[in-house]
Amino acid sequence: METNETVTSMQLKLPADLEQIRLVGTCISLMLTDVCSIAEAEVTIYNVQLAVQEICVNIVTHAYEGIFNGQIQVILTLTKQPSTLIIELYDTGQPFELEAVPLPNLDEIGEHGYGLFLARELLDEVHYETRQSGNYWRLRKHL
Amino acid sequence: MALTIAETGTTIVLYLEGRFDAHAAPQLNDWMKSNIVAPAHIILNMANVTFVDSTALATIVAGLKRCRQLDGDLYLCNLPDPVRIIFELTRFNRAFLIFVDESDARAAFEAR
Repeated sequence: METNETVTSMQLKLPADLEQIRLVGTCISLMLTDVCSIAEAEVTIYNVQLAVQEICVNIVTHAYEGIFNGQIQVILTLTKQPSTLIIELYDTGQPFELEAVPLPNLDEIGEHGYGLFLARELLDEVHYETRQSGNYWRLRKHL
Repeated sequence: MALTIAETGTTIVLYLEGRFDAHAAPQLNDWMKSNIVAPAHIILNMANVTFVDSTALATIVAGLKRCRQLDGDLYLCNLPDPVRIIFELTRFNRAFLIFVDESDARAAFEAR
């Protein structure tokens, strides 16, 4: 971890595996707990962990569906003025059609489509783009 | 995630402990597929759950549907605050009966 007065950043590269992606949440918790004081810290940290978990699960189960030995590169960046956490995710799986994902009908109880919905509700930005090198997600949470 | 099962009369209480996510959800899903039978009175005690994601939520919803198909129900109790907030955000709190503690959930089944 590199720290200066304005930015803390952390990078990790993980196997695209539902068990291994838990490490991202652990890193988010360490970063936010140690570096800054946040209002309603427990709920805020939980919400960011959940949102990032949803995107990581999406990468594992959709982008890398049928593909073994996939990896997810994660860069966490915490800026202090303004206090913001940026989570960047890179993978080399199949491209994703973000706008094609329907919102869940909240008036009916369903079993699908809640992951992206939660990420969008809990974060201030959910950006996705397909790059020549693979898929890129940028998630942002103002703290 | 640890799953402990306690059966009292016609009610089964499932105690979940730890992280209930996409990696752990198949454990509960497998149990539900094999063990939910009429009268299907299930209580999910979430007091010691530290994390729930949407895959885990979907597993609980599938369990709820199965219980209701058998004229039973799946009640939730002891939701930690961050988990309760996610239930409210997804509006799943409208579909489930959620109790403050296990004794209230048990009493509700006894009153059915």
